[in-house]
Amino acid sequence: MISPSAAALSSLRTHGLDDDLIGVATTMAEEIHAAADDVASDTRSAAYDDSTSRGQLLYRRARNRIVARFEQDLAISCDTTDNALHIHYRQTAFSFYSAREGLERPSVYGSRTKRRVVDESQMTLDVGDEIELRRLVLMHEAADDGLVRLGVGVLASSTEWSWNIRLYDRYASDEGAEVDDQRVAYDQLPEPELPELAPRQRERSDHAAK
Amino acid sequence: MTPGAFDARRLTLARWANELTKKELADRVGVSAASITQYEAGNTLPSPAIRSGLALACGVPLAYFERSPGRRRPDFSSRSFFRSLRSTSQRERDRADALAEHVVDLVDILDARIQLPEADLPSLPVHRGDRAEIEQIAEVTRREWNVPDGPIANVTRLLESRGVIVARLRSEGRKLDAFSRWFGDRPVVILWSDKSDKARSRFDAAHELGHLVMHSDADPLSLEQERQAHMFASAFLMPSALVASDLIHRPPTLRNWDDVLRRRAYWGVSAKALLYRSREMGALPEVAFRRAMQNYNRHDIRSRDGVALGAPELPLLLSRAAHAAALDCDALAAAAALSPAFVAEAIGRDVSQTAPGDLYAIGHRKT
Repeated sequence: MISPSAAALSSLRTHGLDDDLIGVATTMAEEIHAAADDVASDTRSAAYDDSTSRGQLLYRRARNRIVARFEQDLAISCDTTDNALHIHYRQTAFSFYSAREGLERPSVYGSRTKRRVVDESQMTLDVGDEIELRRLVLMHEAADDGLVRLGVGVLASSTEWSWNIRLYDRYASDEGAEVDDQRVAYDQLPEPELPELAPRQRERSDHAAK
Repeated sequence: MTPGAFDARRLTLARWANELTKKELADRVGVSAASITQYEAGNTLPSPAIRSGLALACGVPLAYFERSPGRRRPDFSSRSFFRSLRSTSQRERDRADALAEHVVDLVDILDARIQLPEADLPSLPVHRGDRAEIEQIAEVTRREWNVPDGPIANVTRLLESRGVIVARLRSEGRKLDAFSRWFGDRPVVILWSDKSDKARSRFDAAHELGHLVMHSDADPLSLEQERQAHMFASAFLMPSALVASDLIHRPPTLRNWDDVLRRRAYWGVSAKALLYRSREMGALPEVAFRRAMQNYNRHDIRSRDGVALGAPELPLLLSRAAHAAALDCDALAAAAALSPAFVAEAIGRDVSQTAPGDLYAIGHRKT
């Protein structure tokens, strides 16, 4: 279950996403999350599969899950041309990619489709109170035990965000958390006691005999 | 010593301890290398004169080669784990194994007089070898040993309290990592005293514990087992359920290394180990981790890292056992046919700093 924080929801609205668009993004995020869990549980026994094949598996499973999820929704169309996935809702298209260098550093280049995604992102119209989002991109980071972070945003270029809001962060509650200086560090804790080292019985009786 | 009392395996051990090839030993004694092979195989007994020469060449007393009913024979059927297989030569590994055998000689002598704690280690063989399984093994080990949640106060003492013999020996400049091995029912961990990095030493001890717990089917040349022991150490020292709030999420900059160092000081690990753990648990993406390591070197954090935690943990069990047995270094050395200097080192006493009559004062307690 993906539940963006109140701050994230507020930021998304500021950037022109209404509840429907947020709903589409959140649904996609949920399917990516589920696919990441699936892949993690399937590939654990071969955890040293290279990350590329794990990433491809995650992409394909997430794509299939998203298509299945939106199948009955007539307002949403799923374009799977060239093995990519573009979700269209009203005038906005959604796509998703892995953030191999971390969410802060998108890298969407290398194919015509990706170039188009970046181009469309740059076509966001911001006129008065109206923001027309042409392309939203979801990006995720996954580890070998599942999804770590996922965000949605608009790309300024193939390697930069115009803006990007976190929808999911496994460590969100820890991020930037202050370390409690009052905690008792390892070297202040009581050390384990060695057991008593008693002489062997034979030695005792030998001594007694003497 | 009668000719039949010569223990051929002890000759191999003495040669290993001195890092001599058969040819080198043969040259020193004035026999052929083939003769050394025959002596070590037990096919030929060296004459009394040659035994004296062998003892002289190896720097051991004649009694060292003695085979007697109560004395353990060195066991070459199993070998120790060595982490840096690529950088550790066979000669260095042989020497290290010989030193471990000598430590066990001392343990035998002490154990005959004093009830040393029996080894109490869970046996948790690895099946899949993935991170989830190793995390679980580390967690079970902590639970079975009743280790309280949180950092481990003293890894060396924890091992000793469970019957693991830990000795810190001088590597004398060799590129050796800590290693471990089972001698019958007795697990032994050897740490190197010339590495003064406390965090590294704690991690090494936990790493070796991983081998002892997980790898009853030890393959000392297995890089996979090394990787598993590394993951174990990480999870044992920083359990995933407890370390989350200390994980690093972004490559540290010059400004915030202090925060990283504070977090690592809580757990008693190095900043590097905390960064690895952060990557392992997915908090630090691969690229960010690489940048963090670059920054670690660029900002020269090494000098503020493990070394800055203070002096490495020192073993105490053998020193206490010697005290309880009322054996001083000389007596122990004579009983084991080893040098007093080695004995002092192996039981955690530095002869050069030992005042006469103060052989076994327990000097390693935390104040």
